[in-house]
Amino acid sequence: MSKEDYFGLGLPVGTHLLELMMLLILLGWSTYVFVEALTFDEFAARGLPILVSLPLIGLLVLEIASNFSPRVATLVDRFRLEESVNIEESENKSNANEVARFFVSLLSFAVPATLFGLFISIPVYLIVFSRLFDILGWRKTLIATPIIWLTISLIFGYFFNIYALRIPLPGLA
Amino acid sequence: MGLVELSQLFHLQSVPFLLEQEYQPVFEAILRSIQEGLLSPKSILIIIAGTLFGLFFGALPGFGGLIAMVLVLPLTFVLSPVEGFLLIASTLGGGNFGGSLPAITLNIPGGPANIATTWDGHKLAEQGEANRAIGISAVASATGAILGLLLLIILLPVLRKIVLLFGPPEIFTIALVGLFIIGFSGRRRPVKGTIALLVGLTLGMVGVHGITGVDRFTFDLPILVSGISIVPVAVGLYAIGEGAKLVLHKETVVGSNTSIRSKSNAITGAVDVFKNWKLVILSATIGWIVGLVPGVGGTLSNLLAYSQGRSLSDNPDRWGTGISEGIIAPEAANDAKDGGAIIPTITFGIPGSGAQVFFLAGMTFNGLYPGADMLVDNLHITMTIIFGLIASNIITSLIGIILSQQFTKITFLPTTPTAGLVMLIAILGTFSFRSNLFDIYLAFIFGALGYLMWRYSYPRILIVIALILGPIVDTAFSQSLALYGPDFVFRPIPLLMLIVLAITILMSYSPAWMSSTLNIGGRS
Repeated sequence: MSKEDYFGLGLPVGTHLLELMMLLILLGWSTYVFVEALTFDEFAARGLPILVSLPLIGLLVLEIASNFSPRVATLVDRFRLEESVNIEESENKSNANEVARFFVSLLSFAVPATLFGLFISIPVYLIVFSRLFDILGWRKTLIATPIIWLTISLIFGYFFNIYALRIPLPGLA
Repeated sequence: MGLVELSQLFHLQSVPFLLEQEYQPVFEAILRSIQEGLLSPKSILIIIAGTLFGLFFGALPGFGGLIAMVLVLPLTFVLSPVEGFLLIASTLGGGNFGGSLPAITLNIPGGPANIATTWDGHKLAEQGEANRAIGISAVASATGAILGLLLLIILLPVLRKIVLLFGPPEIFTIALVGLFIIGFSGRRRPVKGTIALLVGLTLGMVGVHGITGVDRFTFDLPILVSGISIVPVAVGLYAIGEGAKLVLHKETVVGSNTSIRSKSNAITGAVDVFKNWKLVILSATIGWIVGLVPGVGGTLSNLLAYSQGRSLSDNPDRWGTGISEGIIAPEAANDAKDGGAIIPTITFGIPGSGAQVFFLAGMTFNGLYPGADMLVDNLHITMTIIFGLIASNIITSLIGIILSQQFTKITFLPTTPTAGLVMLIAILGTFSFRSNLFDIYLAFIFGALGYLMWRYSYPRILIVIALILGPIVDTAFSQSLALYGPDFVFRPIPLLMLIVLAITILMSYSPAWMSSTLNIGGRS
């Protein structure tokens, strides 16, 4: 089997690195559920978690193994080859650069929200998203941002009572 | 023998009395809904807003009515139960019709439920009759939905009797079987479906166990003591995951020069529907019955109704060339399915379609459980859902007739900026749920998971369904153990259900079965 060089890992051709990472995280989670469930004294509390996590661990191991062994892949899913072709095609449409831009735009919301609160994170996100994906030029972005910011703050602040978004308007508590 | 003697022989004179007795609780539930604000100006505004919101997102190619329901979900928390359910129901009603707009104008179905509408709807639009096609879709959808909901109302007394026969062992096994049927129905890859389902169930176990009080899988975080909320999970998996999909894969391919000119009138379309009333009733019945089957719902109902309508037509060869019957059949079936899909949702907690998941979520928000809670103690909530759906369908049919041309413009909105704004609104909605930044981080984590699941064909909806049903299954399991011990599985209904489950799993993993279901499956 020929190898694919993801960061020098030498994985078999056809391996979807992101899927593999997702499966490993889910395997970690289900193992934690299984091990922690074993420590519960009462059967009513540990019965179902064990009953659910055990087959989950098995299926995740099978799915991970199917990336490395064609025989397991056939056992798990005979349609893997057909679908992997579709995924290769769709992967061509998005490159690492676009994925990075997308996650930067999400971080542009999460980081200011954590440090300064939601009120600040909204305009930061709007500006970053608009510029990263080339939606509007700088001038139009700077004009549109306060309008959207104000509209969203008014709607969420007064209709849905998010105090972090309330603008201190005179006469409105 | 005369009619009087005949009715006496069969005790038919007691039928009106029996009917009155059976439907008395239904009328009382309607009155209670009205007392709790069903017809208040605020409720009417909520219905109109929900319908327009659902219609807007339903009409946006790539988004769909499901995203609209995800977005309104956190908002239901600040509303009363009646208002919250009205918002969810009206958003669903608007979203169903909205999905037919891009199907007609752009040949892009708003969702799998609108696939068959493209075949004749877009052809009619190309012939310069887009308004007529939209009028047909609006009125056929509304008529189908109302027929489906009336059937549901007629069946309510029977359902009330059935749920009272079920105890924890029955609820546990029926919910388990329902989950696996949803997981396997029409999916090419049962392994991936099962993984998603089991992950959702484990997530549903996070928090303090309702029966024993044991703190489970919380990482000692106080916010997880009450469990993982459905809001950040649904918003992450769908709104953010879908946003990532649209931005990164440029899913929508609407040319800027695409335009549909219409010389026809939407009222002509409405008249077409009433002329084909037999087809409406047939399609609505098909849709309603398909809606009863968990997990199959939307995708299959419109395709089945289309093929059945065509086979019974006098001119089957004209189907697919742009005839009104080709829009009436799928649209009537598509909206009638909700009347059927509500039945397994409120009776057993097994959602009949993706959209029904959000009714289940609304129930859990309000501390309501499927079964006796929804059909006996809180029947007024069920009647509110029915009323919300009927009202939103009437509104969409009016909008479809009056503002058809204007609403088609929604379908041409650019994808990337809309996705950016939708994600922002979704994140703020998540925060509004309980004003905690942790929910936003959770939504981001599930957003990444949602994108990867879409990319590698894992059914995301199963995580949401299992997360909602997880605590119900868990509680029923513990109660069954406490009441009957491990032998509860040998009671008649649980035993039958477990046999059904074993057969379902065996059939799903058999290659022959997988081959036969190849043409039904699709991405979630």
